[in-house]
Amino acid sequence: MYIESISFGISTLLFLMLGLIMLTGKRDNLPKNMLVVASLANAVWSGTVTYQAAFGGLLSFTLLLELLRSLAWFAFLLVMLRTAYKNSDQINKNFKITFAGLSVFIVGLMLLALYRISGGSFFEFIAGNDVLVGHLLISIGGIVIVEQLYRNTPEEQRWGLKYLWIGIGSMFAYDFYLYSDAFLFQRIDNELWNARGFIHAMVVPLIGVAIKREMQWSLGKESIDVFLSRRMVFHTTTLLAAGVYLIFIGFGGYYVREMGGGWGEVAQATFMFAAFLGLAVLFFSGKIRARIKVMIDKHFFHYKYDYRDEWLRIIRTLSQQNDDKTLHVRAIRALAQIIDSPGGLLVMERDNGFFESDERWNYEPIKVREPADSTLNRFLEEFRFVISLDEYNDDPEMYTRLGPLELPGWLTSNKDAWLVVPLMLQDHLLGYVVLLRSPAHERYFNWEDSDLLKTAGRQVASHLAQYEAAQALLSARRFEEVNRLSAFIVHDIKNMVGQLSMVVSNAARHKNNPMFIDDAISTVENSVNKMNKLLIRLRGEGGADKKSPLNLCGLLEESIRACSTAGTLPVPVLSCTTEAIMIMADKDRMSANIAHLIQNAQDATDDNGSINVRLRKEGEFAVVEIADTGEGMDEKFIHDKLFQPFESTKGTMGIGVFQVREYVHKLGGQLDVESQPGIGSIFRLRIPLSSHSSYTAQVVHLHEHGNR
Amino acid sequence: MNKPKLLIVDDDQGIRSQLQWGIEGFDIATADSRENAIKQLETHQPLVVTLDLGLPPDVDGTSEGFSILDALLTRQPGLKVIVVSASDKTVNSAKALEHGAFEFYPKPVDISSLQEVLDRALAAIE
Repeated sequence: MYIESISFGISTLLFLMLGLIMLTGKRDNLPKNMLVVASLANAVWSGTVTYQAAFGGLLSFTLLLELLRSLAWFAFLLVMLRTAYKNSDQINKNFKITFAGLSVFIVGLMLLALYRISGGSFFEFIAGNDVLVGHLLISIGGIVIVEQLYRNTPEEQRWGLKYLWIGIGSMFAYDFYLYSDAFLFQRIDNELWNARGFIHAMVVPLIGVAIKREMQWSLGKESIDVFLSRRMVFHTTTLLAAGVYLIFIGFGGYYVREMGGGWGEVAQATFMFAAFLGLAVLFFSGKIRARIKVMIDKHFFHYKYDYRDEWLRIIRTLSQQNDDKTLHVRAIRALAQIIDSPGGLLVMERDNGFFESDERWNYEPIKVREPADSTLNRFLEEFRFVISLDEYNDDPEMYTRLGPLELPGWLTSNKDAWLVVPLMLQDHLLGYVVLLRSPAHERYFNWEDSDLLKTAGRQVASHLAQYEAAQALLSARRFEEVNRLSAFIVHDIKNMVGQLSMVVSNAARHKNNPMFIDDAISTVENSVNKMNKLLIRLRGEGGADKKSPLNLCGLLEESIRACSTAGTLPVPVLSCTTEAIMIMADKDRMSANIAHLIQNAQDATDDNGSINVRLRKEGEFAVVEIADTGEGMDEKFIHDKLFQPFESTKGTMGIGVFQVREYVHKLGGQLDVESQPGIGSIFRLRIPLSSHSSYTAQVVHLHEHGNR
Repeated sequence: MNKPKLLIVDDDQGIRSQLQWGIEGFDIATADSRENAIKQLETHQPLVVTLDLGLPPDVDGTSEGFSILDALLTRQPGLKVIVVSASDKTVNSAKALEHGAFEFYPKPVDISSLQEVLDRALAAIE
């Protein structure tokens, strides 16, 4: 009794303080006032328990106050829950009815308790099964409403409100634990009861934190995203059903123990374990879950589906990249999930004029090969119907009156096959999915299922088509690569054959000339070298660059000389910094790219114009600018044409700005272009400096100038 | 009597040397790049040129070859240039003729048939 007094005394004090503090502030809204009432009701009840523990008496009064205190908490929770929904008379009415029902229930419980009063101890008094069931229902109801409130709390309000829900929810959870224990063992556990005051006292600081965080006294007023989702109803229903199930188990356990004689407690333990096992099995049963969903859909909602949820799930399933299943399996799953089908088969159109089985998911191994003009394919393409095999079997005319339809044997012979969903891409049938029978939906497949499956089928078809197009593009690119590879092989072989055949034909006239023999050997050697290079390139080894440290200023000088000595104008003017700027690159490729840009500039510029090639260092990059005063390019040309592979204003198919940019990217740099029609262009290359720039600069300097 | 001058422009040393051994009736000069080709043109003033298209820096393409073709014909408009190339004939022969080439000769080279083309080119001048 001593601990009980302290425990409930502390609870009394804290709830009283909470109530009084809240009373001193503004009391301008109903939820806040209801929290004050609930806190004070809790304080009064705890106070009477404290008094009863210390001095005895007040038994019935304490029990009645506990029920009233529960009613006050419910009132607060319901008022908060009402704010979560948009204002409407219907909702207000529903909440009023719920509150009235709850009040009647609790008052009824109070009357029942009063009726049972027959003296004896406090615990015996409240441990009557009917009263205990009442307490259990109250605590389950409290948990359910708190869960609803938490789910309905918009994200931005959770920071303020979560402690309130945790506090009140824990209070109800502890009450549930206390009373279910009492219900099972037909007595209230002293320790659990004594701790109850402390537990309730711990809730007060949490409520205080919520108030201090300036929680809003309504939910979702600023949020339009509050709605009664099917998932929420599903969870709530499951939770409620589990609570009711546990109460029945308690009853059963009590009965078994009472009737079991000497084996009573063993039988009770066995029974309880079996019952919990049963609950676990029920929770994990797909069939039960499906049936609950159907029940909820039928009785709580106007439409069978929450279309937003369904659509999000379809997209999520289709785009699960981390899933090890292929897109085609995910496509089957996306459709099957809609009607809880356990599996399916995807049949896709092939280039050979047949529709063939592509992928299956929990479907028996089968090889399907249907001609594209079969009645099934034509029917699906023309009418875009989801075919229900049950309907077809019951009344084939339902379908055949629209057009000829004869289902193939592999489909009709499978008793588990249920629906055929067409995958339409615009007006074209891309394929179809055969879904297996769902345990929940078999009895009522209606227009709503059909419409959703049909529309989802279109979505799936467009995903599949996109995938197929990407694959086709990949193949085309590979093919193009092979073409390009074979083009240069043919080119090189032609050169080699030319060389060798000329050696043979020339030999007829010059075979006695030692100089010719020398030249012929040199030509054959040249051909052998070419063949070796070709082999290296074919093995893919030629793709690796022979990177070496390059003195960029020297390379620019060489390129400018190569582009100018033939008399081509204008001659570019080079300006380099005094410091050597080194990069790591393949000398031949780099020269070719620079020369290409310089030649482009020369082609675009009049002989009287000017070209400036500038080199400087910017941080970790070497910057090369090739600026001309040529005809320039407009933005559209730069955007649409300049960087297109194999595009050239000169009508040739060789190295282009695209290849230059690709190579610069490969070096970790970038190529920018500035241009104005009639004024000129600047091509700017930024290339990473060699990591040992100063060292390699010295080495190259020595190499180039050291031994003169 | 002096032989007519022929300039062979090809980056492949083996082809240049075998053409020199095989072609008859011409005084032959060779070049392996745009720079050298223009130099040789100015030095020797050939009547006929055989020109490869895949020259550095664009050995895998044809841009440098066509640039040289334009450069040679700009400097010597009556020049007979025979484009000798292993590149795609369907694409490049018409283009070569558009650019002013005398003829497109597809590789591999057969000396006797190339000789006929060269003789025809010479006859066209005379």
